[in-house]
Amino acid sequence: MKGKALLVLLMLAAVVVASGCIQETPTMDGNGDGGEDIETQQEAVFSDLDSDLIDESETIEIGELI
Amino acid sequence: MKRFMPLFAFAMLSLLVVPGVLAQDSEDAVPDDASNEARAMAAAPGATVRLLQLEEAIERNIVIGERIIDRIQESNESFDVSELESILDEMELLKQEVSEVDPEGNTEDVVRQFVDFRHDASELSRTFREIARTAFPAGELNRIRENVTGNVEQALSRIRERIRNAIREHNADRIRTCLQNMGASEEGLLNRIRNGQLNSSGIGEQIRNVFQDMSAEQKRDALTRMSRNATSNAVRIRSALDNAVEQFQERKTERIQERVERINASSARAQAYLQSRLERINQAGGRAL
Repeated sequence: MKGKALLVLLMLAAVVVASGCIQETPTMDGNGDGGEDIETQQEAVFSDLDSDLIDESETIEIGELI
Repeated sequence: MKRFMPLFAFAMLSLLVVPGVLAQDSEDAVPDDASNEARAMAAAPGATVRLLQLEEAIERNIVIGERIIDRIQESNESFDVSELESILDEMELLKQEVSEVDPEGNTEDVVRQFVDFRHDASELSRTFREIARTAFPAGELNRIRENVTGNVEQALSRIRERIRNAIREHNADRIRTCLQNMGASEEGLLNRIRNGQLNSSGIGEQIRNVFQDMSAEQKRDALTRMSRNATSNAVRIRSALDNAVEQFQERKTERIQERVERINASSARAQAYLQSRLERINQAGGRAL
């Protein structure tokens, strides 16, 4: 009985640890061509590119003097 | 069963405590603003933009600082403005130091200097603000702020023009790399960016259009190359920012010592101020960022 309780507790601990470690794997869109993968990657890459571009109105703020 | 409970409790506690301990380590990291700005510094055109923007921010505060000192002298003759003047003297030196950084130099060196000088600029501005605010009645600060910050554009027009051109060059450079990774050539698009015909959101839209016209296989290859390029840049900047944190305090002391030596002999006031600042930094020790 004690052994079973210990096993349950250890499994619970393993689930807690695993939930923090396992990353969600990308999914396909169902037609087998990995289309959703491309869309996800595309969004990440172009979003990164947007962040790299600098707008002409952008300035560096070092704090007011008064 | 009871024998295992302490072990189990320890394991659960570790899960809660370890992230907190790791988070504490990041307290000595470069501030978020500087980290975000440094993102663009993986290549020389982006480094040029950030250094010019920092120079502009310092120049702007020098112009405003001079106006504030004039206001104090007009309205509160007994107020000692010597420390404020010394801060502006140091800002002048700082501006010169920023302008002397070679944006085409080693990325780690350039990012480290940017982080150092940006920190100095913020610290000098904060010290000036703390002193200047005591010179005026609290109820008048908003009105004075509005008066002294107006019409600075003319004084900054030359550097603004340089920044505008540098931003266009940086954006064109970034898109040129992107197009190379796509296996595309769009000289017309690059020219429109350099001529200022597209803002950043317009550029993003155009490059997405180029991408949409590609085949699925070309898209996959392009995304792989673009991801690799982005990761490589991010790793280089992350490494440069991590290095910028190392020996920050020692570098700060050295910078101020160099300024003491560089300051014009006629400006004994600024020299005395820098010496007292150096003493305060040495006394403070510890954290600096």
